[in-house]
Amino acid sequence: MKTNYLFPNWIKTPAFIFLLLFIGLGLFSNDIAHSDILKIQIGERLEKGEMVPQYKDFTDTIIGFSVILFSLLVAFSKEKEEDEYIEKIRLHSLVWAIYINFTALLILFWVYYDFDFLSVMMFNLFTPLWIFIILFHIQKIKLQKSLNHEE
Amino acid sequence: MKNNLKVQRAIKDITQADLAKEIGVSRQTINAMEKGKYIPSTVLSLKIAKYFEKALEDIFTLEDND
Repeated sequence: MKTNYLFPNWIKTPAFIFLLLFIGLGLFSNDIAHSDILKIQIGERLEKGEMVPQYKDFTDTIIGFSVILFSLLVAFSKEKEEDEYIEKIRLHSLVWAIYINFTALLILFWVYYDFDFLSVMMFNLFTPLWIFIILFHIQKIKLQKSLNHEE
Repeated sequence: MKNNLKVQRAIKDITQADLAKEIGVSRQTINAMEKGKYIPSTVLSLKIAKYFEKALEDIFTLEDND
């Protein structure tokens, strides 16, 4: 079975380690931002006749970018044994992940408002991929279990 | 669609793992097909039929609700 839209299998484990690392960093993003490690000058602006340097903190940018990138790599890298059945399970998990994610969002629309809803939106940037990864792996474990049961 | 893969395997005296290797799928896939949990694609069905040197209909048959 040739699928050309998936990343190679060797990517999965390192990507997963980096994903956990960046999720961990994300939990401390406020501390990192306060420490000014990732504060970079992005230009200057004329204020009261003086050129004042403008800074931007890139903590959230780098963490958000990395979490999505590594989630994508974990979600869509090939399995060790890639065949049409695993492809079916992948598609199945993807459909359910989208259903679950957006059903939750439909409910959350009526539970959180205004600024609170912003945090919901923030999580929602990542949850479709994460729910998919979890569902897909549950299916794979179930499959392996049914096989072990056979022996 | 149902199949008699298990019977065909018994006749040829071949394990799920060996059959999986021969036709290039995982053992889980063979197991799922035998349990009727997975309907193989046309390509895979033809590969299986070719391996057992049988006609497609000798291994796979339609059910009433298909």
